[in-house]
Amino acid sequence: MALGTLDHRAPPLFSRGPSLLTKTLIYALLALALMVADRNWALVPPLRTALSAALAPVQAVGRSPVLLAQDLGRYFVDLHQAQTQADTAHQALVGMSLQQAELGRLRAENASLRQLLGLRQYQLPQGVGAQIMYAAADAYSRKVIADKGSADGIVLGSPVLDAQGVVGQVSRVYLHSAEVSLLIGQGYTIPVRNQRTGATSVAYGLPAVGGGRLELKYLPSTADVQTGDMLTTSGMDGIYPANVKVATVESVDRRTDSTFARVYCKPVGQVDATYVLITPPVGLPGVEAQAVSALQAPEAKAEGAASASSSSQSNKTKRGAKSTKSGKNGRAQP
Amino acid sequence: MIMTTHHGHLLLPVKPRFIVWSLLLALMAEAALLLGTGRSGVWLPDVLLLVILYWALYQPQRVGLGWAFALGLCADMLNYGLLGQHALTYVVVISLVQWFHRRLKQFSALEQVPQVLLALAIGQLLFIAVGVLAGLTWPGWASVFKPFLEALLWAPLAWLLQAPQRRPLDPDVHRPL
Repeated sequence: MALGTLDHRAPPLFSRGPSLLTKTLIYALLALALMVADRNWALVPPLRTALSAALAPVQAVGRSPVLLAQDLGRYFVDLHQAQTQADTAHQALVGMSLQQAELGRLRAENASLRQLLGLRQYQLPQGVGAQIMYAAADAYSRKVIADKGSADGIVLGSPVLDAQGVVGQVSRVYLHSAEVSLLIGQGYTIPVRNQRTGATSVAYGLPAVGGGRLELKYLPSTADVQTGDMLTTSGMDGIYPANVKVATVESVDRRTDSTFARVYCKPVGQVDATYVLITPPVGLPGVEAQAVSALQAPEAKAEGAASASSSSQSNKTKRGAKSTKSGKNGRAQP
Repeated sequence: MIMTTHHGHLLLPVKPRFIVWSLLLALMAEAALLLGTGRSGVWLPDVLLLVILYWALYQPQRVGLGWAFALGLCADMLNYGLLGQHALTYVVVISLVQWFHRRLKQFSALEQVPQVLLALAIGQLLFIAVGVLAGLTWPGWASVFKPFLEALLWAPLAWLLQAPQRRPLDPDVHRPL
C-alpha cells in the first residue's frame, strides 16, 4: 500500500455531527440569504471582490489554453483578408481626416458661439479603450466583461460606447476587469432623445433569447414617433455624453384599447462589439459625476455602497443625489 | 481502508491530494468552458458539479456540503451571476446524493446514471426557478439539456476519477489473492 494514503487523524469525538438534513438546511438558508443580500443590499461586494481575487489565478490558468487556441486561430487567418481589412481601414482613415479638419473648425466655432450666448462649455469625453474579453455566461443577465478595471481608472456607471453608438454601462468594477451591462439587459434604462422631433423619453432593455431590443415605455399613443426614427442620448442624465446614437425605432404599435403606444427599437451599437470605449460619466452641474453614475448603474442599490466604501468620494454627496433623484426623502441637496 | 466495488475490484484508498487537484482542475475547466462559449453555453455540462458529486458519493467523510457550498460560490463568481445561485444548487444536489449514498454505491457507474440524472435534474430545475424568481430572464430551452449531458458524462468521469485507485493487475500465479 502506498504511503501517505492512510488517515492519521484522531477519530472525531462526536462521531455523528449534525444530521444531513440540518446541514442542508443551514447551507441552503445561507445561500438564500446571500442571494437576497446580493440582489437587495450592499453587503456582498466585499465578498465578491475577495472571491474574484482568490479565483484570479485559477481563471488565468484555466483560460490560457482557450486564449492560446483563439490566438492561433486568428494567426492563421488568410493574409489576403488581413490586407483587405487594412486597406478598408486606411481608406476610412483618409475619409476621417477630412472630417476631423472640418470638426476642428466646427468645434472652435461652437465654443465661441457658446461663449457668446453664455452657455456652459461642452466638454469632450475622455475615454479608455477596452477590449471585451467574453460574455458573462450567466444566461439570466446581459453582461460582458471588459479587460480594464479600476486600476485603469474605470469608475462605476461609466458609459460604454463603440464605433456605432452606446453599448451599455459599467455595472461592476474589479481591479483589472469590469462588468458591462448591455443596453438590452433586463432592468436597463437609458434616457433618449428623438433626433427628428427632439422629444425625450426613456428606453428600457428588453432581453430575449438570441438577441434583444429596447422599448420606449409610457409614450402616449398620440406621440410623434415613426419607424426609422433615430434615438440619441439626451445628455440630461449626467452619465452619457449627449447626442450619441442609441437605437432606431423598429416598430410602433398604437392600439385603441391602450393609452400608451408600444414602441420597439433596435440598438445601434453592436451588442457583441469587441473593442469599446469606456468614458467617465459626464456629470451634471452641481452634482458629482460619480454620485449620479452610481445611482443609475443597473445594480445601483447594491453597488452604490460598494463604490462608497471603496472610493474616496464622500458618502453624503451620494445620499444627497439619491434623495434628489427619488424625491422620497424630501431632503434634496443641490 | 480497501474498498470493493460492484465488480469485485479491490480499490486502493484515495489520496486526499488527488481530491483537491481534481476539484481545482474542474474549476479551471469551468473557467475555460465559460470563456470558450460565453452565453451560448447554457447547455454545457457542469464539470465542477460532477466532480464534487463523485467525491461526495465515494468520499462523503471528506467532501461534503461545505465543499459544495464553497465551490458553488466560486462557480457563481466565475459566471458573474447571482451570488449563491450555484451554491444552493450544489448543496441540494449533493445532499440528495449523500442521502442515498449507501444505496447508490451498490450500483455500477452505468447503473447510477438514471439516479444521478434525477438529482441533477432537480438541481437544474431549482437553478432555473431561482433565476426566474430573482427577476432574471429565462435562459432558453437549451438549458433543459444540461442535466442529460451531465448524466451522459457521469460514467466516463467516474471511471477516470477512480483510475488512480485501481490496483495494478499483478498476476502472481503462486500467490493468488
